[in-house]
Amino acid sequence: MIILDKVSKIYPHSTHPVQALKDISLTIKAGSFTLLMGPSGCGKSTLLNLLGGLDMPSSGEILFDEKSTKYFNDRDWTALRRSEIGMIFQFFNLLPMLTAQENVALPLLLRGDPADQIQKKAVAVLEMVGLGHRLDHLPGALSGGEMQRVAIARADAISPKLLLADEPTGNLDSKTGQDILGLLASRTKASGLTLLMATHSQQAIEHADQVITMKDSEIEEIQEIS
Amino acid sequence: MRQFILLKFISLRHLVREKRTWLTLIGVALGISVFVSIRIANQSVLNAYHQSVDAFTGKSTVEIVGRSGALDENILKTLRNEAAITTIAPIVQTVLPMSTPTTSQGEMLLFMGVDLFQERDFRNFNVVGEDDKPLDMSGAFEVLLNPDSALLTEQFASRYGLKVGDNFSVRMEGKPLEFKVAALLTGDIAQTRDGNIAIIDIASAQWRFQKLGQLDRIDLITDEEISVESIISRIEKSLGGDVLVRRPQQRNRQIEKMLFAFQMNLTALSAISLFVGLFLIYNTLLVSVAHRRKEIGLLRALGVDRAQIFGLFTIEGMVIGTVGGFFGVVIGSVLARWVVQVLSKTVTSLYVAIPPTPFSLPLSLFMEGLAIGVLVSTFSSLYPAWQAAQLRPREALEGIFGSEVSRINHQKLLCLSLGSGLLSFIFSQMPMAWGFSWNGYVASGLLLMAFSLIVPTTILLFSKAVRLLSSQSSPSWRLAQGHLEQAIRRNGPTISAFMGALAMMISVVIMIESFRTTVVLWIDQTIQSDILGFPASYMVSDSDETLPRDMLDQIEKMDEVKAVDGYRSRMILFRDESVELVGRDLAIHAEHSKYLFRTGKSVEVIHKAIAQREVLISEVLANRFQIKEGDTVQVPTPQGNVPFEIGGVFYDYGTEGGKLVIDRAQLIQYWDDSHIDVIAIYLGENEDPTSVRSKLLVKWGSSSGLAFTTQGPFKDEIMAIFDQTFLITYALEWIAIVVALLGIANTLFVSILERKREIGILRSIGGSQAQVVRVILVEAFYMGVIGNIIGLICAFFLSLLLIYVINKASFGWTLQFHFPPMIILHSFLLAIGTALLAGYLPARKAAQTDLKEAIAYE
Ligand SMILES: Nc1ncnc2c1ncn2[C@@H]1O[C@H](COP(=O)(O)OP(=O)(O)OP(=O)(O)O)[C@@H](O)[C@H]1O
Ligand SMILES: [Mg+2]
Repeated sequence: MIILDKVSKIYPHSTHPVQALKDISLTIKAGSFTLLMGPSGCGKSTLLNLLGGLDMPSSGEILFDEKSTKYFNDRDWTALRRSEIGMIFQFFNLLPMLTAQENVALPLLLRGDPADQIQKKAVAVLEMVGLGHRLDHLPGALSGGEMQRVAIARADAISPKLLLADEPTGNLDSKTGQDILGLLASRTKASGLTLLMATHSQQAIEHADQVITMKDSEIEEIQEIS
Repeated sequence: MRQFILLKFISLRHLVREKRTWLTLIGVALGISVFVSIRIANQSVLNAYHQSVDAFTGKSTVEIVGRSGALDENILKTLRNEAAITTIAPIVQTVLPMSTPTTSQGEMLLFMGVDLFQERDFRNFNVVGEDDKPLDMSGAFEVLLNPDSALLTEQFASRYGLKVGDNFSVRMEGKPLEFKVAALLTGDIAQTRDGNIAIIDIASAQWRFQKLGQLDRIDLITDEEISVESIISRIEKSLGGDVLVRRPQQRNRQIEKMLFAFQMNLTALSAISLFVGLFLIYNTLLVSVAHRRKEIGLLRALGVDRAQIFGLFTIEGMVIGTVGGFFGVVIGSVLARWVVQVLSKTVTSLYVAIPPTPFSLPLSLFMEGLAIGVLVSTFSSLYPAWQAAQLRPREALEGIFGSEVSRINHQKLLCLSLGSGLLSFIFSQMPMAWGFSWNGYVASGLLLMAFSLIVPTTILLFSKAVRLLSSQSSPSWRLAQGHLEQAIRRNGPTISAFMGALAMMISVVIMIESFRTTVVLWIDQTIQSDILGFPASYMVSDSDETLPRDMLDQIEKMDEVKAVDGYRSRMILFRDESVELVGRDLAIHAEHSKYLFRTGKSVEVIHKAIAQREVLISEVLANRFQIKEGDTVQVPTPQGNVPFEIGGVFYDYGTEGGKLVIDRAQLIQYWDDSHIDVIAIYLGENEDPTSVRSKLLVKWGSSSGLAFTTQGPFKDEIMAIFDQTFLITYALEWIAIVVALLGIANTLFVSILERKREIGILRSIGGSQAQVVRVILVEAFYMGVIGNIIGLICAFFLSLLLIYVINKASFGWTLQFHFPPMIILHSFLLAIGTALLAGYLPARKAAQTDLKEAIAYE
């Protein structure tokens, strides 16, 4: 369970500081699929970045399973990203000089898993996203949809509790986007992880349990879908 | 105008904002500073040298010197009958050490014995008597008539606290020789040799320096109406072949030639840093082009044309070059102060006495430094600018992420490398010209080029090998390797520059080590005497002080002594060039010591030389005059030319221009010269050199200015001089390494800018700061290893060029190639240490990358 308590984010600027988030309080249930929607610039990415520890809130508090992250340092966040938080981005963010399998194996290598398990795991996860036949391909040789699948496999490899996805379909055509959405939804159901996804896509709503709509740095509406 | 707007809005902001611009600037400034400082130092030394020469030469148009050494004063009579000669100024000169204060090694004082009445036509000086009253010539003449009287320069006198009427003494043959300060000298001549000049009457000089009836030189002023050449040939005809008649300028030509070669070598060495600096600008701009591809695409899309893009980058390069050049000149002039000191010391000990050189920075050199900066930077920015201009707007806008990999044509590079290597070999086989091994340097440049060209391919192979070898469990190694391979285009020039600097450094070390090993070997084999005795001033290059003549007999009579060898060296004109002639007791040398002959056993060759009255020559001399064993050469003696057969050619690393060696008996027979410069003392079995040395010291006393050293310290002394000679070389090399280090740091910094995103990704999937640091450091490590592997191989060939082509041509010495195995370890430590050092700051910066920004945008 993730709780945000009056979280604000202000980007400092000498003359025009930007308030990207304003007193955001919300709860995300474990195992749920939550959508983050709203017009461009409303603060979705900012929120996801705070949850991934890529940026720090200006005030307020974020709790993971009742654990406060208020006094987390860089090392604590790193530990969290190694075992509990996976991230997916609009621009896939694969490392171009690593093969698909290596990209997926990388987070496991970084956290120092036993060597013999890593490759097995990487292959298994890639097969699960339907890329068993593209193991040795470099990202440059993959299509956008395939790259996003590799990115999902990479996030999935560490068996995270929380998956943060920032417009994962934003750079794909709608057909491929549908496929990716389906894949994400089925992964969520299958492994019981919590998925928080920022998107402009209306198609995503059918897969979601909860839709949070933001406007001007604030939450406008929280909509439960049964 | 539009170009100006581009510059103002784009270039200036990039240049000022980006930290690596500063790194590049420092590198370029350092590179130029080295070059400039050597130029300044060379120039200052040359100026000092010319100044002293000019003041000496004065207004004379022709000079006469004896081929065998001294001149017979009787030829003055013949000269007086020559109508075309307006004035004749005979000169007797000698250099002796001051003996006050007695304890320390006194300064060297040049005595010029002159005919004062003739002198005023030649040299510019004034004489000041007591109470600072100027004396006219006859007044000066009066005061000099006394054989004890000498004129000292004001500077020198005040340095020693001497006033008119005071006495001072110099040392000759172990005894003080006293003079009285008759008056003081001012004017041009007083500036030469830093004022260490004394003028005395020529007759007193002949008498007091035991040169009765002899002259060292005759200066002439000739009739302006008649051509100097025809007068020279007339005088030559009337005086016969024993004298050399020449223009005074010719006297210094030989020294100038050697100085020129020496300075060219230094300049070439200093050009290394310049070369590395050039690489640095090239690299910076190339990276800048890659980094700003999008911006270029955008500008093109907005209507900026190719030529403007080209101009943009060229001008950016020029700005770096100009600013770098400016600081280079400033740093260079600071550096030069030190270089001038070391250089004038080295030149004094190797070639010719020059006064402690005042440092000056003429405007021309300042401008030259700037010009070099601009030229170098323009030149090195041409290719990157061209590349930028070639970018198509659409391609450029698509960005570079991951698209750099495949476009290197390895086959073409390897062919070019091979061609360059081949050319290098061809050049190495060509003859040198202008007294300097131009072909050796061209060959070295080509060799470096050949090895630079294989760098990209090596990176690829290395990267493939690492990929196979590195276990799957180590992400840093794999990531660093992946990046290394991906960015070959950027890493290539950096590694090349680093490799080049290392190769030059290592090859020079190999050369010096070979040189050193050869010299040590030579000393060990040829310096066998237990004790050496010589005037303390002997170690100063131009002293004429000799040992007391009775010393040889007295030492020989000592119980502990088995044998003594009296060694005398003097200058003669061999084939119109000044060379060293040595007379020594060859029989004793054969029995107790040896020469390292090119062919034949030392004992046999020397004994044959004694029996058949042959001459032995050093290798340098043989190379210089293209003569060899068995040839007969004419050696000028006071009794005319005497034919000598060359009995052997021996290796010798002690004299710059080479030497001729004959038996002492012949030196006495032909030259009537029984002086001794050095005495080599061989002790009986079981004698202790140290106690015998103490005994000798007691016997002759410290006031005699004599030095006795045992074998060990003497060898050390020689090696100390040797090391001093290479001091600048080492310093230059280190600076080149520093410049290369900046290059690596620069590349890594850029690498981080470009990899912000990658680092962000790494961090977002659980990479820690330490892991990011490690990836960057591993990449730096790879760069160091690759640079060093190629650098070592390149250095091996480069050192062959240095030893067998450049050194051989410049100095005529054959060195034994000696590859110190430890250098492999040392160079690896150096290369990797350097690379890691250069990588550390960028790595730290990388770890602190702003994550959200890094992954946010394409
Ligand atoms: N580094 C930054 N410095 C200053 N302001 C920023 C920064 N990053 C984002 N902002 C501002 O914060 C606000 C929220 O940005 P954010 O990226 O979270 O929006 P978003 O909802 O993700 O938009 P989009 O749908 O376009 O991705 C915007 O007004 C943006 O301009
Ligand atoms: Mg966003």
